[in-house]
Amino acid sequence: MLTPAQLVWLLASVARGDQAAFEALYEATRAKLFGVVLRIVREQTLAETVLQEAYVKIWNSAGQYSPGEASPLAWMVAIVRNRAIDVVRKRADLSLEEAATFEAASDTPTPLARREMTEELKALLECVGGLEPDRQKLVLLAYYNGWSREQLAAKFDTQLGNVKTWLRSSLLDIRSCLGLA
Amino acid sequence: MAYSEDHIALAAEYALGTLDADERALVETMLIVDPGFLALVEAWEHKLAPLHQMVSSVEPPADLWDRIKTTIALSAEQTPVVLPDDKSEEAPVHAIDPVTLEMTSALNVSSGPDATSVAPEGMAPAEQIAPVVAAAAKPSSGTGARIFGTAMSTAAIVLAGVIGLQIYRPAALPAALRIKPEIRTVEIKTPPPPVAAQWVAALQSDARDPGFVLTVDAASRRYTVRRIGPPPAAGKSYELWIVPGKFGEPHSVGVIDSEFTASDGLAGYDADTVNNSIYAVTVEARGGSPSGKPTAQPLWAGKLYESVPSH
Repeated sequence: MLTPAQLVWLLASVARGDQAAFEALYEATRAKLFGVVLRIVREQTLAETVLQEAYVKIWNSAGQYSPGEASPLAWMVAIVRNRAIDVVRKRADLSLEEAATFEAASDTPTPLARREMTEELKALLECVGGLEPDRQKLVLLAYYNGWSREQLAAKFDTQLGNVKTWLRSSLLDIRSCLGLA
Repeated sequence: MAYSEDHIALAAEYALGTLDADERALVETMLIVDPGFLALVEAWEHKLAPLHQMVSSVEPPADLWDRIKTTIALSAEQTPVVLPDDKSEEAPVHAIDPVTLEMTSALNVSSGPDATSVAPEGMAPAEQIAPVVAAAAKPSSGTGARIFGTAMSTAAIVLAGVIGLQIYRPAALPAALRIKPEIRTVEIKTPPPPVAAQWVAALQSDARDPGFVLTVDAASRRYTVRRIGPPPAAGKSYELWIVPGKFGEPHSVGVIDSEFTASDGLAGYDADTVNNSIYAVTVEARGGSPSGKPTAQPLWAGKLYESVPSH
C-alpha cells in the first residue's frame, strides 16, 4: 500500500486528468475498496458494478478532495460505502424478506494488531469501546455490513424504536468522546 | 450554523449507513442545499472511515479496470453530444450520462443477494473486537475531518432515467387531450423568505450538478424554483414538468428561466399528487414546448421531501 502522501499526490494528478496516475491509484486501492464493498453488498457482480461506479466518481471528483480534511483513503472509502449502501437500500426496499439471510453475515472483521492501527483508528476504537458491549456491536455491524435499522432490529431481536434510540445515543456518545463539533 | 442533536444524529446515521432509502434521499437533498450540513456529514464519514483498516482486502476481477477505463472514456466522449446548441460562453448544461444510466438501471434489477457465497475471508465474531478496543491507546487529537460530497446521484439518476422513458415515449397522448395548466410566472428580485411546512426537491442530474431547487408550500401549493446552474441558452427555455405517480403523463407546470421563479402552476393538483410526483426539467424552445409535451429528455429530476424530517 502506498503512503497517504503518495495517494494525495496521485489524487492531485487524477484531478488534472492524468490517466496513468488514476491507474496507479486504482492499483493501490482496489483490493481494500473491493473488500469494503463486498462486505456490504455481498454479491460479486453487484459489488463489481458498485466498485466500478465508485472509481468513475473518484475520477470525476478527485478535484474535490482536500488533503487537510481527510486521508485520501478515508475520502475514497466514504465514496464507495455511500454507493454500496445506496444500492443495498434500494434493493432492500424491493424485498425485505432478505432478513432471512442476515445470520450468515453477522460478524465483524478480525481485529488488527495494535501496531498496525493508525492513531485515528485507535482513537475511534477507544470511543466505540466506551459503549455498552451490545452498542459496540450495533455500531460496528452497521458500519462494516451496511445494515439498516430494520436489519439491526432483526439481528438484535428487538423493536425498531429501540435500535433508533440506541444508534442515536451511541453516535452522540462517540461524538462527544471524539470531540466532534 | 448550529445544528440540533436531531440533525447531528441524522448526519451521523447517514454516515454510518443505517438510514433507509427515503431518509438517505432526504439527506442527500439537504447536502445540496446546505453546505454546513454537508460538512457535518463528511466529518462523520471521515471519522468513521479508519474502521476500514480492519476489513480484509479482496482482489476485484482483472477486467474491472478495463470496464472503468471504458466508462470514463465514454463519458468524456459523451459530453459534447449532449450540449445544447449554444455558442455563448455559458457553462455547458450537463446531461445524464447514458452509460451511468444503464449501469444504475442494471443495478436495480439485480436479483437478491447471496449472502453466504462471497463472505470475505478472515471474519471473526464481533466479540473479538472487544480486547482490541480495550487495548487501544489514548486517542491523539483527531485531524479535522470534513468535506466532500459523496452523496446523491444514484437516486436522482435513476429517477431521471425513469422519467426519460416516460416523458419521451412516442405514444404520448395527443396534445388535444392534454390540459395545459395556466401559469402565472413572476420574477422575484430577492430570495423568498423561509416559510414553514415546506417541501423541497433538488432537481439534479448528479450530486455535483443540482440544476434547480424546487420548494412547494404544502398549504397553498405555490412553488418556488431557484435556478442554480447557468441561464438557458439563447432561444431556449427551461420548462418544469410534473410527472404524477409511476406512469403518469408529464404536465408542464411552467417555464423557469429566471433565477427565482414563483408560480401557482401546481395549484390545480391535489396535495397527494404534488407530494408523490416526480419533477423534471427539460430544455425547450424559448417560452416552453409549443405542443405542451416535452420535446427532449429531462436533464434534471427529483422528488419532493419534507424539508425537516419528522421523528
